[in-house]
Amino acid sequence: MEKYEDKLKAVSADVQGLRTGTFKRLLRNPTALIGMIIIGFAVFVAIFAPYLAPYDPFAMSLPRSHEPPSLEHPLGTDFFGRDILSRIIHGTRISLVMGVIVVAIRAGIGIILGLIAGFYRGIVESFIMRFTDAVIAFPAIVLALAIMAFRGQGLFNVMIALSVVGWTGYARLVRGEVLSLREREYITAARALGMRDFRIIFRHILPNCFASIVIFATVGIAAPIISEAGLSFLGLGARSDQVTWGFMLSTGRQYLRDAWWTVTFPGLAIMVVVLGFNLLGDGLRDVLDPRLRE
Amino acid sequence: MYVYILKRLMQAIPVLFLVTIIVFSMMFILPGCPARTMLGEEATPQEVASLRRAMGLERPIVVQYAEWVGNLLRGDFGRSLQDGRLVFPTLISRLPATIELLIASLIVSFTIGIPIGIISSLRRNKPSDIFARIFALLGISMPNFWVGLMLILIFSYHLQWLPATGRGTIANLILPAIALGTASAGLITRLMRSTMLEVIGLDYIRTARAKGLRQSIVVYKHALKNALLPVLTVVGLQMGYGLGGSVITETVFAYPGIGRFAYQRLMQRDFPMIMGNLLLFAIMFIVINIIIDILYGFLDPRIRYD
Repeated sequence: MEKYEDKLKAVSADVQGLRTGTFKRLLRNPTALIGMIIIGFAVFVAIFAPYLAPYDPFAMSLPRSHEPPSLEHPLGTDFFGRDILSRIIHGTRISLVMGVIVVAIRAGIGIILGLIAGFYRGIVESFIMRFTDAVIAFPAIVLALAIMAFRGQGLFNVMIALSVVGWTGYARLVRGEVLSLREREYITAARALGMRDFRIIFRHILPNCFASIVIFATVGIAAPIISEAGLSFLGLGARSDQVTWGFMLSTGRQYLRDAWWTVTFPGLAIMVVVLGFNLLGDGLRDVLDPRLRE
Repeated sequence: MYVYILKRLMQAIPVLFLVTIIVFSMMFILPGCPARTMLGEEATPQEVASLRRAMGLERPIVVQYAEWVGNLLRGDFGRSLQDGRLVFPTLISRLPATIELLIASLIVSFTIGIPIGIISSLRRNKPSDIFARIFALLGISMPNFWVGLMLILIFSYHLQWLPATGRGTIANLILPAIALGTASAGLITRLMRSTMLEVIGLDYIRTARAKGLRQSIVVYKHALKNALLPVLTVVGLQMGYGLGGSVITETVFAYPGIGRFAYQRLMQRDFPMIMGNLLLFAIMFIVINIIIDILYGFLDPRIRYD
């Protein structure tokens, strides 16, 4: 019995070692470093938006309608004469918050279902995995749009709609990890020690799935940012008293021919932030899971 | 092989069953009564009650579901709330345009993704590889609707080379296909690169090289065949992604396919059309993936059918 307890301690020590060394290795990985710089900058902009924005993002000035980029308005103005740079700076907030919250909910749903399916197997697993297959069969944005159509416009509903559709990847990933972990010796040891299922799942299996979940979630933040922008672009997300990049694209689109800057810069903002998360995800994969390295 | 195909088809039945449950339950995730939501807040209680009776909402849910599925099996997806048109024929009539767009976008993503992925893997860590990786990352980081708007701005408004809207000619298809295919091109580049790197490291490739075969024969005759297989599985997923993406892309380019139609009916809260659309998209996704699985079985003899 003591041997098994030692083994459990050794596994925990390994996991701990992985955590402490990860950040240092991430800093040495150029892909991850660029990703972290971009995300760090976006987070900084989101937190200090009111201090960084040169103008009030809602302040209208019709005489200044559709002014091209200039020293006064570096990214130009929109139809209502609002400063685009200031609106992009404020828009960072909703995009990042939406990305993080949606991913947290998706991961929460997916992890729980994946853990249950992988650990208990049998009919429970069959039902959960067939249900996952059924949800995957719907194109995420269409299902989200349908949920929005039934529930109505607004960012809260966008959050619900996007959370309901994107958990399937987490469920599949975690189930796969659990299937291999549950056969390991240290899990047999935990069972032999008389641990309850709940404790085995959350204390000994889940922490060992973290590396994969973190990579998946980091890359996954990009998707809801794009989807939120897409739903707002279609007029189903933000209201006119909220600033989001998708909504800016939606309103700017009508004046694309005459005022290219109203569409180009919000789209670039989305691209840069999404790129940041994709770079960090790639770097994390290299550092945490060398087997998956390209 | 027939057993495998049959097994694969049987696996789809529970998934289809769950798909119908998800679509049907859409009606009941509404805050309040579906009839009230369809008619709007200004409808009188009498109107709501009459629609509830007409829709059969007074009956137990299981009975309603069984009747709905029974109708689906007979090809009756219901009628539109907006114009009374039959849902199924209306949706089917829009499908060819979208299939055209999906195929065009797949051509775009494969003709860009596969060669760039191969070059990238053969020149690992050289400038062309770095350029290919940056291209792939940018491709998957750009929202397709923004790519679409930028393409319209450059190629329709400024250069006036291609039309921004409509359908009918190849020229109409180019910009929406690029907008829809860019992200997939990025994904395929990454996948192609990683599978090629994996295959190139295998023993049989070393043997082929040791035999003194030319690089082009080793790459195209030996490595590429095996590296292409995993890329094939992406086709199914990309078709699903493309179906979703078509909603926004078709809206941007005013392209008369099922995606834009779905969006229009969603905005009008035409629930039978929305449900029919969801169902059709899900069935298409399932069927495409079954075909890909079977095709994969044909192409890869290592896959066992029993």
